[in-house]
Amino acid sequence: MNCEMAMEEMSMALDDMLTEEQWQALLEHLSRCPSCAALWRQWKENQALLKQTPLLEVPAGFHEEWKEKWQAMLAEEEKAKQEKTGKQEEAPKQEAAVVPFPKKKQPQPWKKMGVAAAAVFLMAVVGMGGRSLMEYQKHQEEMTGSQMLTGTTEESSAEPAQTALPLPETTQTEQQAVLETEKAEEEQAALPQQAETAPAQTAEPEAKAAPAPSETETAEEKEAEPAALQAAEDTLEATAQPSLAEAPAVAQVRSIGEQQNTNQADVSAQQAMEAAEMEETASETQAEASQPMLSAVTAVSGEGTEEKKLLSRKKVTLAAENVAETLQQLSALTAQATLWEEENKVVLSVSLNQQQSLLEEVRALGTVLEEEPIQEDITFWYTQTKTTEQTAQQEAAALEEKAAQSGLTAQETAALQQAKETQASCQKSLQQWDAALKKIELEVYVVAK
Amino acid sequence: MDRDESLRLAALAKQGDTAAFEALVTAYERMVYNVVYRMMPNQEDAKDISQEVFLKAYRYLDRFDQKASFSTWIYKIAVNTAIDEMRRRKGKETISLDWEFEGEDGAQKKQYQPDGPSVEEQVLEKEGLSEIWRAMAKLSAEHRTVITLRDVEGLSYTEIAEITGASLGTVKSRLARGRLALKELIIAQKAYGANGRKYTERRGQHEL
Repeated sequence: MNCEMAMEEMSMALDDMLTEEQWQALLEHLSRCPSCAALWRQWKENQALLKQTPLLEVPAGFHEEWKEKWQAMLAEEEKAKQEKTGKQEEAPKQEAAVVPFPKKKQPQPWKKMGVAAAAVFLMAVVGMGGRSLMEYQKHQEEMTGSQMLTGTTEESSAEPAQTALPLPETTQTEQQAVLETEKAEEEQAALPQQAETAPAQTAEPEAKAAPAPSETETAEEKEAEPAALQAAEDTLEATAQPSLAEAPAVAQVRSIGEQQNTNQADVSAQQAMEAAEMEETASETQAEASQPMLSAVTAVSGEGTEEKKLLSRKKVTLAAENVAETLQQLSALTAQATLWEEENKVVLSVSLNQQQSLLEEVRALGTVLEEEPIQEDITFWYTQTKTTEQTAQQEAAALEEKAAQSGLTAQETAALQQAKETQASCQKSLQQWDAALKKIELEVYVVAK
Repeated sequence: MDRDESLRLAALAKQGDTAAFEALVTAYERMVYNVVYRMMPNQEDAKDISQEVFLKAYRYLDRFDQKASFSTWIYKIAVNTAIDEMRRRKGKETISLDWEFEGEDGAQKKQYQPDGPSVEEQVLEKEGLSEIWRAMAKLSAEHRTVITLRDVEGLSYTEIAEITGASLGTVKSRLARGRLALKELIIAQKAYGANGRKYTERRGQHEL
């Protein structure tokens, strides 16, 4: 056990989350590592202090003041309701028939097609040559049936409060769909270089826009890591090399709605503008070396024997005139969007190589007050899950062999089932993590201007 | 209030029973106020935000899943409302303890205590807890949230994951890193004094 592992285990030990075996291993480490032993003592002391924190009384008049605010809110809602009813009664029948649902997301099938559809669109644009827009739209509609797999349904995306973030809770079917989508994107990422309509000059600034993964990791880690672990981290970072698989691919994801309105004659002008925008983004990014973007997920260290698994998230706070409307617009930007209306927040999930273009679209919807990149290192948990899975697999294999030879006792049969369940659950977690590591979650908070 | 009773009241409140909702507020206001105060240690802010939490809860009550726990749901709104407020204010002013305010020049000033320490400060000082809470106030919002929910509120990892919207693995990792950062901050405070120059978790280094 190394010190970083010991640190995670110590934290779990504070919360009584270790098995007897893990606890013994930790004790063994603590007995020969004075710095971890000192840390353990300090943590225990801190936790004991925090547990003594007294429960405060609410300030005097809290409830009454709240009740006043609540009653004012109820009165306002009632007034608004009456005004709305009054207006509807006054309005001619024809108009009443088309009153929109203000809080419901406008159906925008082209956006809901999401990532996969964007890839299909690019293929279609490249391939259709002189075909008219009408023909293209027809073609796209035909394709929609098979490519809509990755899009969330209206019902699922309009249910924010009880929907947890998609990361570990997504179903296997969704994860599979995501993996398929990403495969399609990876294949698509190579296409623009061959295509006449995607000039080479757009690829270069795009590549510049995302810094090398090792740089990102170094800056981020140095900021987040305490001094005690800095030396070990530095060693790791010194050898960190960007993985080829993580090299920023050309992200040509424009919203299809915009693309549909762009006729062929405008394509080159638009591409020139995009190239200029990308140049600007690239120089901004270089200037912000101390605030790296999150294009790097996995930095391979040493001989490629150990991978650092970093989940990427980015928090953006946007000021907008109309919060509700902006939240709806944001929700419609990607197929995987979860609206948390209570917190004025939308969580958008896209592939890493699409973050730049998505960010551009997000920034266009308001004034950016803050952008904060966050990376969570899950290396320890990932490795531990993998080890547990392998152990369970070996245990199951040994028991199955025994079953074939001499049969199993009831206890062994139960152990076999337990091992298989553990293995399946670990595999599921690993699959979910693998999918999550290829994506970025953009958490956008909207506040009123 | 037990789980069944809060679910019963929530169901009634959903049907328009305002008395049932008010009973829920009475039952949970202290819990909400405390968690918000731990995240934004200023009495006025904590009061306003806690009140806002219950207004939001009423507004979105129809989205509460009757199979879920009402306390987890209200915790979730409280944590997110407080984080949202901190985010909104970031760059505009420093979130600080009641008795401590950091001026633009970096010097510590007294803000809310013209007549001496606040009640909260007195309690913390008496219990020997002011140092650790001064350090807690300097943690990142995410670390402060998980440590508060776990070590002060005593919630399980699963509940914290549900409240913060993070995975279980993220909660574990965030707790470990948050605890480490807290220890570093306490050491820095001891070395440089509470009235010394800034040391924040994000900065990760001392400014002398």
